[in-house]
Amino acid sequence: MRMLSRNFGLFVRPLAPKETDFEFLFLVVSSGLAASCFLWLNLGMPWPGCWVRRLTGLPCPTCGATRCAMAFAHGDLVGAWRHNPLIFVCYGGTLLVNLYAAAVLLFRLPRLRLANLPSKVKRALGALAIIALTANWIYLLAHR
Amino acid sequence: MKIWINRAGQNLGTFTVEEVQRGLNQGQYVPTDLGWQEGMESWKPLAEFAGLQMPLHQGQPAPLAPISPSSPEVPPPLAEATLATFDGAEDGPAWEKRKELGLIKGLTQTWKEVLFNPNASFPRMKTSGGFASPFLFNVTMVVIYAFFSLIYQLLLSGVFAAVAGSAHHTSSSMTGLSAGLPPLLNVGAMVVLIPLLVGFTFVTAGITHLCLALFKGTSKSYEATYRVICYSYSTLIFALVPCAGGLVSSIWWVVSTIIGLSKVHKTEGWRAAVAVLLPVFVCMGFFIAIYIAIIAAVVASVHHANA
Repeated sequence: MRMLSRNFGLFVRPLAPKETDFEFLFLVVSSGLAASCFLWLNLGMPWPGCWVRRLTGLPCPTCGATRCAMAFAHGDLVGAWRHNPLIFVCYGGTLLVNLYAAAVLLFRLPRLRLANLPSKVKRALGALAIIALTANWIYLLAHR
Repeated sequence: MKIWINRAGQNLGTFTVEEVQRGLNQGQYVPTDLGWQEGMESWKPLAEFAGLQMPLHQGQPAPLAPISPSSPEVPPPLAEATLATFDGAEDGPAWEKRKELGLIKGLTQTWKEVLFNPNASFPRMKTSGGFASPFLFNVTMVVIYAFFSLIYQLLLSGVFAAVAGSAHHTSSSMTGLSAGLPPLLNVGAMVVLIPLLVGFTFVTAGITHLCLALFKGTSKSYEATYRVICYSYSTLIFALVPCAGGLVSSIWWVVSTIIGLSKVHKTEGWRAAVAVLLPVFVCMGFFIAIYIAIIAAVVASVHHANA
């Protein structure tokens, strides 16, 4: 943990009095949104389509997000990955953060907090995000 | 070892013992500010830290002049908004000072404060002083959003018409006609929608305030809730980004409104979350019920016709 806090500014600390509870906020908003979208889609309610695909016939970087979510919700992880790998990673990440948030809220555990991310790490993360977005779009274009 | 400093629920950053000592001597921090460092089980006032010496003068913390960093690893100087945060200071957001700052600067600074630092900006938000300022902000945001939406729709309807025209080999006059009608309708719709959306903000604030009151989370008037809702409309700026912008905007609106309500009404996060999300779920349930009722009516009529 010392190594993590020294190199990445990652700390495990208690929540200060009156401090915003980000875990609670994340859990409520993401699970609320997921539950309402799932209900909406399962009832067969109208859902907006992608205008980029309609217009050009080519997928946008977020195309397949809905199908990915439905496959993910039904436990079809391979199918979800195929629809949009990057969105699949985002959904997986959200699920993990939600599990973490539920655990710390339930057991009143200390929270993970980033103090000051070194600029090297920030730059690396930015580059990684751009590479991931580009690679994902190439994948979607190749598998349309 | 770094010390985390927190004042009135707002994190001021992490600093070395020397920096905190300097901050205390310069009056940037007060002994009642809370501190935490690795190994501690809970936060405690800086006055109780063994390695720190309290200055003789004790009063309100000086709002500015950040501490100069002593090493490259030290975080950047604290923002004015962050350092100025303490209980009772209500002078924000920047839109309230637009006469001094200028309209554009007031607007952009408010976006920055609400979107990227809601924890610091909402506790400093004015909770009284009339509806005019938040109302004007709401109108400005809705007009900006409507303007860009209209441009997108005009562009899209033009392109769609052109694509449809070339695909079906229709005459150029027909293409022009089909491309010309929707823009007129779009402009008309926007003219009607702008006052509707602005008016709906009062209703949204009313429903949210009622829900918050139901869960005993209100400590300020309806005006404070209205102000939070209005300034949270800064998130409409995300909606200008095509594709996922609308979704990001909606999610961030929910998040910033929850943070805003909890800070302004000084209530727990769950009460604020319920106040914001309950009306959303009720509306959604209502919409689904109407949809199911329509489907059921159609099925029943078909069944009746066949019988």
